[in-house]
Amino acid sequence: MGLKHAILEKHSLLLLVGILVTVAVGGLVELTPLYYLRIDHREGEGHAALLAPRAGRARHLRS
Amino acid sequence: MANWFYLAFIVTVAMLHIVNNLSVPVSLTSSKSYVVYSGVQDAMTQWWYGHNAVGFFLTAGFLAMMYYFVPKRVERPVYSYRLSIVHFWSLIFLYIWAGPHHLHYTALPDWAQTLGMTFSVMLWMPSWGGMINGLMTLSGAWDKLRTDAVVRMLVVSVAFYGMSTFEGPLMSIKAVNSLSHYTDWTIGHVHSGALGWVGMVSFGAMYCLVPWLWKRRGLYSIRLVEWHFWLSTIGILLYITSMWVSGIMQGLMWRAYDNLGFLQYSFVETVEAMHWPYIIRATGGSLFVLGALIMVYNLWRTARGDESVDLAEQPAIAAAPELRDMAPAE
Repeated sequence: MGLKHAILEKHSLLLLVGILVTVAVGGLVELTPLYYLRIDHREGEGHAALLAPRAGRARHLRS
Repeated sequence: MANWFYLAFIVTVAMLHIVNNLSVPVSLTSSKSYVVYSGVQDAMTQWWYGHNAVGFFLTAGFLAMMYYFVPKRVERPVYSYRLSIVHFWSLIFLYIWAGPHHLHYTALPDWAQTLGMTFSVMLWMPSWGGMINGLMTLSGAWDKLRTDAVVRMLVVSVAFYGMSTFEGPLMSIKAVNSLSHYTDWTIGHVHSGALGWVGMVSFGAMYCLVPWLWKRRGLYSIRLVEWHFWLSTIGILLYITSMWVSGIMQGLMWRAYDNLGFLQYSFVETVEAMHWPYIIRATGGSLFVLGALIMVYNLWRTARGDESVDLAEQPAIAAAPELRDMAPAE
């Protein structure tokens, strides 16, 4: 393989760092925006909003 | 290759525990502390943790066992080194995104739910890449499926891995999840993974390891392995098929309305309808336990050093390395 994978196989610390970087991405993308996006629900719609998917579900506005 | 998966398992599970349990003490002298997350962020963090703590232990950790024991037992190299690299990196990268599929139709923003669903569906590809790499390792040695019950156990385990890693992405799709969530379908899915994949690959590994570690010529009885194989396979099949029936029925009954718009069934009626599936489930589970008890007996006799009753039917690889080329005792 063009990729020099053997380096990662011979140096476990490099493999460890590679794994950490690889598995960190998904969590960062899915978790951090939840802290800076404001999550609004339309007022007064209550349960009706849940029964009509798409129409009145959570909308996300940049604060 | 096995070691890559073991390292990913250990490192990722550590990361998940540390981040999920981040908390702030209320004072320097008190043991009381509060978790840093709250609300929907907490829900997301906990499912990022929950989905992947299970996944990196029961998938990555046990794939490591597959990558070690399948080639060892069939005495063939892993089918493809390249595929194992692609399998490894794509699996660990994609897996970690799948957590939000546990939070469909909740307060979690739609974009996060859809992202979780999409990555769950994509995860099907590395999963099956791994399954193919495991199964195709038998190239040129398919006859061992017939002659060696331990190989059959390992291979059926990988087949269950393929089945449940197809079912998982399917269930992560929002429309399917709206039916399957909270029902026995989920219970069945978990057990095809836990009993079929994790259970059987562990059994196969134990049948390999015990004679090797205790320096025996083979297992006490390969015929008992044969019994264990069929009992557990039939047991799991009864278990998961009854949970499909009961789960889908349960989901359909919960959402059934009469023509006046009232729910058609009370909860207790759905429980009553699951009576027969539960009896079949208990039967399947009992067969699985019975098989495991047979294994315990077999491994105990092996470790104790009792003379094997069917050594002639066992492959040379069943013996500890130092005993493989020796003539039969006495």
